[in-house]
Amino acid sequence: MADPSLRFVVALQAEARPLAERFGLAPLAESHAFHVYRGNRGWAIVAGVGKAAAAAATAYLHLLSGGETGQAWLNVGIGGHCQRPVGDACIAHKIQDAASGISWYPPLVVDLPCPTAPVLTDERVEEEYTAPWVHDTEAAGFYPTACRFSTSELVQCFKVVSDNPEATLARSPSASLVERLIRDNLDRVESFGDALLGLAREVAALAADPPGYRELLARCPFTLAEQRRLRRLLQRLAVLAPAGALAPLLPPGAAAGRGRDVLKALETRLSEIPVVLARPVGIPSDAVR
Amino acid sequence: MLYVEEEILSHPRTLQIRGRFPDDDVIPCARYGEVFNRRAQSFRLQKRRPSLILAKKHRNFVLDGPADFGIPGTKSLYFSHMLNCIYDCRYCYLQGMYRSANYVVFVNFEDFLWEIEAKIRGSRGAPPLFFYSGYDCDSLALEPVTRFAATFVPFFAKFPDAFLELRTKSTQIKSLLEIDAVPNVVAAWSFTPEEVAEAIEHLTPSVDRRLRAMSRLAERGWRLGLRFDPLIYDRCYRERYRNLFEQVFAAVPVASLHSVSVGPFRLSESAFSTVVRLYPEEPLFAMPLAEEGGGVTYLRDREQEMLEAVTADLLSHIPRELFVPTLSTPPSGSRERASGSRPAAVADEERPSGDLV
Repeated sequence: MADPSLRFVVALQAEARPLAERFGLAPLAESHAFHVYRGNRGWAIVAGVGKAAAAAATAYLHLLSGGETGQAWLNVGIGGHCQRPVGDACIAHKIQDAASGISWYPPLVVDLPCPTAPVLTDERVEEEYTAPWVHDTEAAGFYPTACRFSTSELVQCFKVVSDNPEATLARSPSASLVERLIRDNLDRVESFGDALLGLAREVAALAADPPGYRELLARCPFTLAEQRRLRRLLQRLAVLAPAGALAPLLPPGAAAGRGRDVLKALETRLSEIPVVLARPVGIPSDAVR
Repeated sequence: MLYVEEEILSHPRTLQIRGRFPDDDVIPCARYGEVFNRRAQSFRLQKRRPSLILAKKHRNFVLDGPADFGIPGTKSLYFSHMLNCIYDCRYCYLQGMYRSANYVVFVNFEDFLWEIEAKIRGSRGAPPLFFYSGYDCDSLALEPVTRFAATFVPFFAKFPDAFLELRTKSTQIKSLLEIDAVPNVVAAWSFTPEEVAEAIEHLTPSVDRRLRAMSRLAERGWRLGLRFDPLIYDRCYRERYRNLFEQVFAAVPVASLHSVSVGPFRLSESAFSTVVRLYPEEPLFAMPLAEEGGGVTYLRDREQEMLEAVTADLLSHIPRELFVPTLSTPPSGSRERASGSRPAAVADEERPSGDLV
């Protein structure tokens, strides 16, 4: 499994440009159903306006980027608010689809670079903002779709207030304004994105193959059930005897045995390792540290 | 984050709890299951920073315990004013039992009390009812926030024929120190040896601090319980448990004890598989274990040897009549819990929200 990376979903090209610059993402040369950017730090896709477009783009990016689960997904975009000043950034603690009334609550388990707010996804750009929510047009399409591909702690929405009753008469902020609003918040997006990536790596480490697993699979035949047992036995061996306990099991050049013989040898090895869970009796904890 | 069901936004207990977290965002939700039961949640990630959810429980306030669980000669019942624990003990069946690591507190304590009273009045005292509150949470750990003991203990004082066990690892005993001891309420602490507790009982108070809390309650006449449960094996377990018993009985007068129990390490197969998936790097789960009768335990010989050795050492400190073997293994008679799936009461509460993702 490759190292996890970021997946940005935005509605507008003007939102994508500053992200692409900061994260070193370049547009894909080949033609796609959406504008897609790619780089070492991740991917970005320009969905267009609307929750259906956001859902479609999220699914498209998931498949285009390899279909691996457990990536960090971030919807970055602008929204209107009845009170907050233009340029204020916030992270969604609740997302509600205005049409259906369905709500989602993204679990926030990392340090946040800005306050949180509820986000209401409207069917179209609203002329008036009555409730103190960030009004957008894509979060309710993006969030449940991305949660099919990642655990919900890794799926978040970052919104920047682009208009409010005082600041904007026309409800269509210019591309240059949108770009500036996102650009001004790139440090926050980056620190939040990095924190999500940290979580994604923790999740990936849990699913990683234990040491020796691929090598043994390549050398000996294992049934599917035996492969599961092998994985767990090697996990246990890595915990109880992390330093090289695997080596003598199947020396280089030795004839490949049957899978079940390897499993038996592993079981025997594990049963011989003394179990020490904690510091020795009588040694103070600070001495162990 | 503080999530609150819309229906109880202005409940007095909600307002009291909100007052403890003046800087937290309050996020209204229709039902707690919208936050708690959703698919695609990582218990391990959420355990890094759990949120509090305030909710109302609607039914199944008190449930029967399994027939083979509890103090002999009593009928066991349990109730859960809270779901999930603020501690992080790796052997606990609460690890990953729910999809979310957030804490749910049901604020309608009075509805629990009504049902408890109905059960007590209906039983007519034979056999005595023994209520357990530390089944889905630690009974006292969140006391400064919930005031659970401050509400329930005085209630039990009115019903001397029924018993309440507060199971805990906490030092939050202020509520108990503020009132006179209630003879039919047992404050029971669970212990593993201090080196083991440091390694696998994350976020818990040290053994020494727990003992100081017990000692203060003993001075005030409270009846105490000791729960050496689960017994945790390692190469020098015998020495560890001997030292633990010396430490415990130097601090806790035997005369204050209501009961002392030991319980072997035991998880249902599905709970074990969940916890291994959550913490594959945990040495506790890497040692040789046996799958038997739908549960995962130490190998039979090892378990038997431990039980006999630890019990013998324990009985050198206490009279036999205080000893209750295996009081508190995850109740094997409770099929929901033993199989590792969510208990019926909770599942029933959760249904209205469904899985919308």
